[in-house]
Amino acid sequence: MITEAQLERASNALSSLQTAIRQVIVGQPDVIRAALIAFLCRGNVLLEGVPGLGKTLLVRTLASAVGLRYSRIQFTPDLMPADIIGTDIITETDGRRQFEFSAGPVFANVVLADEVNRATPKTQSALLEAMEERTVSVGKSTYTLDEPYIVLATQNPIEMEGTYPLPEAQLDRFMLKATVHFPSLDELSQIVERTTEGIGIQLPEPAVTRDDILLARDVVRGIPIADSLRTYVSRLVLATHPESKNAPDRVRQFVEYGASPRGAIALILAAKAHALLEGEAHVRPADIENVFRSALVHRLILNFRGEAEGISIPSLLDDVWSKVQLVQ
Amino acid sequence: MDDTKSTFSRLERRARRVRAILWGALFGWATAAAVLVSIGIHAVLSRTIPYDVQIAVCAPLTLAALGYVIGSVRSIDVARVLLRADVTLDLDARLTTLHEIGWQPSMEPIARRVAAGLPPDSINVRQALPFRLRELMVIVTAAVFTVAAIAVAAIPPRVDPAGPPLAEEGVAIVEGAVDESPDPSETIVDDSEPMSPEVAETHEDEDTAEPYAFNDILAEIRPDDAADTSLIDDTSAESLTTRAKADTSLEDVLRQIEGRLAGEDDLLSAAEIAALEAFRDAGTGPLAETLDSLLQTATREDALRRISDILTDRSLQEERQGLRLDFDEMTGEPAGENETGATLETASGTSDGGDETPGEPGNQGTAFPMFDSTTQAGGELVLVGAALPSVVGEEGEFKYYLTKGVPIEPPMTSNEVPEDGWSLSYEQAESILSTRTLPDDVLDAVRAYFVRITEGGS
Repeated sequence: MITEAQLERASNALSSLQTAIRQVIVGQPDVIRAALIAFLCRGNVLLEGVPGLGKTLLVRTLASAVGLRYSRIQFTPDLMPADIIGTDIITETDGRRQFEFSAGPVFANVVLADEVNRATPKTQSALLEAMEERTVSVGKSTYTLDEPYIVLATQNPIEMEGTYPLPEAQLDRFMLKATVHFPSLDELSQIVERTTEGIGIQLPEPAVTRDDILLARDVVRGIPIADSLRTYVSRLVLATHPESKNAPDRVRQFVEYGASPRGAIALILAAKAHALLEGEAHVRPADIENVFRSALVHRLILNFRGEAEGISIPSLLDDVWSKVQLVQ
Repeated sequence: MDDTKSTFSRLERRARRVRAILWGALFGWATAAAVLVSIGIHAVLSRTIPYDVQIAVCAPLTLAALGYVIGSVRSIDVARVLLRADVTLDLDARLTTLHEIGWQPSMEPIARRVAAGLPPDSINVRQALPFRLRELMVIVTAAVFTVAAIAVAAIPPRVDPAGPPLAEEGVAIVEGAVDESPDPSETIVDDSEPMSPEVAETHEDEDTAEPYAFNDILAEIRPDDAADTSLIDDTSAESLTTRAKADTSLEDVLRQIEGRLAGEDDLLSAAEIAALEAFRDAGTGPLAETLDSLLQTATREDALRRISDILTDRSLQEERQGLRLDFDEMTGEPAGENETGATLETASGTSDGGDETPGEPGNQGTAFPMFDSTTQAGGELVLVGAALPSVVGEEGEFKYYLTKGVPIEPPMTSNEVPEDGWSLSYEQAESILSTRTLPDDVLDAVRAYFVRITEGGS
């Protein structure tokens, strides 16, 4: 049961957090929103964009604004799983040697997996358990990660030479995928001004507490969504499957696999978080629309023809959105 | 919250009303379309619109009302109604969400915040749930179809100016057959008599017009030159069967009478008496006396015995088999002393017995309507379209007269019978009758006629 006070407190905390982040990050509202939504829904975000657009800064700003521990992992081809999750090392205490677990960078609250597609699949898979179960298993021991926890992975859409595209299983574990676009002229001017004038960019002071974030997470799950909207989400997800009778023609032609049930769950949770970020106490169709593409864009797999013709998955999702109507 | 509940109720009532109107329109549309199709089929096939189809025009309105009632009473998905209202009024799914969480105390804080976003004024249910374009199209189409069905059915049925309505005609025929039959001279068309121009015009009109549907039947089963036939009103099953089974020789007639009397506790019928009188008048010596004695019998047993005597009397065998009815010559003029108007002669002509009979070939006379001779040629009793005699029997005065409408014994204009004949199977008759609008009693009589034909193997 959510009280009026809890609802008010969560709304105020999120409002403060957004304000703090926007003091540092110029533009990129969708990326900021995606990061916050994933943070509120115990999810993870895949950020895609060319280097130099402020992805790392965004993650650092988020961690700083919530006053949580931040770690950054630069993925390279020779990175090993132990480099991420940690390993047992021999230590000597009072003349006695013993194995002691040395936690890797994955043990933080906000983890930036930079250029995640440059590591081998083996190393990429080391993140799977942490991202989904929020635990890390080393040898016979399993360690629970501290909440709130979020992994923000970045990948570069260019320079694909020597990269290892994320397998579908791992992609599906990212709640949202956000594309970091190049800033506009005004935004770029602002970025230049902030970084070259005065003392440069200062990370914000914590605007919210850990408890605020955990409360907001509970409130998000308590946000009601009408059954008809829940059905609507299900119809949207089903329409991404080429064998669905509601699928648009282009989906039937170019899609090999549609979104998984995890996609529907992510869509509804994201819509709830979006509603709360907007100060609403219930899910609206507009909330679903705002998170529809970022929740499903990385869950559709093109077939050979779609790949060969360079079909854009967001355009396919636009077709799905146009075809599936809220009121039948 | 009470305001919200009231809004829900008003929206639900509005949705039911819209659905009721839509269902009523759909029901009415479908029924009206069916009625129009039925009318069209009847118009094409029979060129008439049956009364029951006209009555069926009431069905679209009735079913439209039924559809309205069903649409009003049946349960409705309130969530869908509210979602539609949400979308129409751009309420961000507030009504839908409130409908689901509004009754849970634990969700009260959220419900209050959701309800706060509703418009302050009462929701206009007509704006929230308007008729959609396709619904309006259905309603308009249904109205057009219903009006069209009513308009088509309101077209008065085609009435033949030459004759009274079919039902009245049927009654007149039945009554006339008993004791109010018109004067034969008025009802029978005598081709041999010259007609005044006025009369000729009247008869011509009668020939070309359709007094009632029997002529349609005749037109289908007879050659064109026989379509203007005169008809006999004697439609009793007995007479019809007798005619159908008749042969023209005296022996055959006697065997037919014997068979009937053996199976029925009855006396000679008027038709049989007339036939025997005709044979008696045509016969000679012993045969005429024997036939006369047969006609005088008062009991069934006596009649059977006398018939048996005639049939077994070897001395009468030749004359018995030679005396025949002849239909070949259609003079239409009653002949001589033969009251029946039939011309009688022996099969061997006048040479048989040496006496010239009134029924020589070429003599004019009337044929007895009891016997049908569609396959016999010359030397037989001739049926003409002339007046028939009154026969005095135990049933009282029994008159025959010819009139149009019964599909038997058409007047012939030549001695030739069409190769395909005028025979009509029961199935053909039933098929034709099914496309006609006829009084039930007439239908039953016609059916009985063909049933008896079928049973008799004719």
